[in-house]
Amino acid sequence: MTLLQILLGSSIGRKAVVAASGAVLALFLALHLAGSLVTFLGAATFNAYHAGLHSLGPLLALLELALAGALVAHAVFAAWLWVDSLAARPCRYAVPAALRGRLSSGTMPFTGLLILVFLVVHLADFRFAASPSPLAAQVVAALQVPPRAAFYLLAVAALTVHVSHGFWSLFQTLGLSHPGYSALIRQASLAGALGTGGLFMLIPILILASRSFLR
Amino acid sequence: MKTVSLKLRIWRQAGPSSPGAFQDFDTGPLAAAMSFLEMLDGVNERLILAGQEPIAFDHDCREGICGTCGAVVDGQAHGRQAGTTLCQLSLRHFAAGSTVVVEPFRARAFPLIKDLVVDRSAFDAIIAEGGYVSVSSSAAPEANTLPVPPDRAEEALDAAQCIGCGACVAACPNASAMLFVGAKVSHLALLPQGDPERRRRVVAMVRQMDAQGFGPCGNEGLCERACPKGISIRHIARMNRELWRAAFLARD
Ligand code: SF4
Ligand code: FES
Repeated sequence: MTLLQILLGSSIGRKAVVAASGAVLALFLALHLAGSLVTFLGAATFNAYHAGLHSLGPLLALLELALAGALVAHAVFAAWLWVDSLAARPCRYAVPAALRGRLSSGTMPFTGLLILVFLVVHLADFRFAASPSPLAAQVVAALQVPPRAAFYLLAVAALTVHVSHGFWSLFQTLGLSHPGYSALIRQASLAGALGTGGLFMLIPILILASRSFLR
Repeated sequence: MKTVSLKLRIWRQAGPSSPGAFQDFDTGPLAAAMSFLEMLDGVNERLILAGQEPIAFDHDCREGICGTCGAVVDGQAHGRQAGTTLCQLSLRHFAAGSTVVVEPFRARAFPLIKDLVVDRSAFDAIIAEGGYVSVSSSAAPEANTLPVPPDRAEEALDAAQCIGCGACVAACPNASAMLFVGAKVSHLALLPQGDPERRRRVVAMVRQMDAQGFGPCGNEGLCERACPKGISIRHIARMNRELWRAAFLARD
């Protein structure tokens, strides 16, 4: 079997596509978090950071394209695996399973779907919005509406749960886990997800709670 | 002598395509030292004396080494006692008077034959693809001429404990066979005798695993908790690694 046959033709290969694209998305998430944290330095710095980012021009477009590719691969292959897994047990058990996984692992398709819906809203809000005002003002305008802020918080919670399983899982799938450090990866995965989620959540909370944040 | 009596709800199904349903039995007082399968034997004796069809269930060694027995008891493959097969489960683990629900393993790749008996020949098909080593059977070399580091031997022996019972498939939300196949691939990949065929083996066994209709692994880890032999999911990671090794270094 060639590499391509393995990637497309076997369940482990399809999982590897999800894992590798997930790694790209996790890397982006870390960069995005760093960018979002610039909001703590004030509206002027945040707007300057945004302008700096856009001065990258074609490089930014290329990165966006790669990111979109990773996202599509991640979603399509994960959906494929989901369909396969539903088909593998056509008849369910009468008694609910006594052994339960972590909250994160069994809910991956659902947290994933919620994140996908959120992405549409989030991109419409900030990436494709035809607003003349600077980004800081756009962020405040969008997130000071309580239902919208609540949706952002919910989506970030889903993202936290998704990443806490996904990050650990990608090492296992790519065969990179090892008894020597897999407990560490598990803990780092949980801590990283909680830290990332918590910091992202601070932004809508501060916009709602403080009159001066990002104004 | 300590006794327990249980209310059993057991899945009855006359054949692969007949409709199935639970049937209830009152066991009456039984010795707590009895095994779960001895209890089923008792129920069957009563059924036979009453001229009814006994409950079909698989068993052979009845000491946890052959991997033939297995059913889902109260929502857990081999019952809720950790690290044991169904035949090793004893009645002392059940609260007197409780209702115990017994279902067959459920997976597309394990079609039901009758009552609690499922067809696990999908595992045999996977083993036939590479769960063996090819050796010349003439003059056997002196055992110690093949150096095997002790930690490698230990790891291979851990994987070799798999008895092919199928509880991992039954417990997996996706009915995946990755723990079973991971154990077999690991076991042979770790030893010098398995090394010459390791690339071909992992590719062929994984391909057969998929062809048999097992689901993909979701890294949930429920298999290793249900496994009566404590096979670790690190063997799944090793199988994945073996597959990448075969893909990138493919020659045969
Ligand atoms: S890995 Fe464990 S549960 Fe699965 S077949 Fe082997 S012994 Fe049974
Ligand atoms: S009958 Fe052999 S393992 Fe249970």
